[in-house]
Amino acid sequence: MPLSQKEQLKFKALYLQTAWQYVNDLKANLNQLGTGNVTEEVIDTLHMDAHSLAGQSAIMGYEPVQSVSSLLEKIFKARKEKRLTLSDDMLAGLLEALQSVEKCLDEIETSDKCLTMSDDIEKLNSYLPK
Amino acid sequence: MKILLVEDDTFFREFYSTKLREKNIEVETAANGEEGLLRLQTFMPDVMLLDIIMPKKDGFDVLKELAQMQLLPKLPVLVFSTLGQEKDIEKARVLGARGYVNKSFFDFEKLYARILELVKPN
Repeated sequence: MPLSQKEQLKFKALYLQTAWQYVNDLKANLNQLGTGNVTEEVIDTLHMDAHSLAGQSAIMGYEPVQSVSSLLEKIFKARKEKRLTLSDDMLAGLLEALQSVEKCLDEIETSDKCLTMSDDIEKLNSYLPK
Repeated sequence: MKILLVEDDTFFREFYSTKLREKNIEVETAANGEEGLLRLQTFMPDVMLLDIIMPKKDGFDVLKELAQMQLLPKLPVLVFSTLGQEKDIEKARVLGARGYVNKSFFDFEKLYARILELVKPN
């Protein structure tokens, strides 16, 4: 269950601080993948960062960020298990989804609400292996 | 009561250690499996809360080493999981974990009750 409003307020600053760090790390590592410099360590880090962002967003009740990061986690897990190859178009799509997450974090910071990210969710779902 | 919380995510580490300390539980934290195992040399907890997906040594590696060190019978371990990790939970159980907590679905009283159950004398 999500936190009470009182607890959400208490942990919001910590959430935003760590969420921004994960988003920045995810972007940096995705850009590294774009250069063709792919190591298992980079894929592992992408998977762990998306996993952590999804978990902490779920507990705070920020559902759109949780949905997008959870899909990113599944995509990186599929890539890690070699069930998925990430094309340049897909990498661009993943970066676009992270830009939407950034907008969402801005919204959370200012108004405690987050826009829906249904377009990104639909796109990321289409990347998953059937 | 003493708990060792092994969790790489800063948010969850701070969040759960704050909540546990509010219950007057002594909490030590470690940011990865390797650090968690080292911490056991100076701090023997009553319960270990252990994340699965972590850098350096992950939760499975920690469980394997705890078994080798013959600590598992006396040190109950609850693994932290999230939705979709059912296979991981099963693997952790096989390796000796006593149970799991879904860390993203917050129900602190449930977690606290589970901890008390684990430290209850037989």
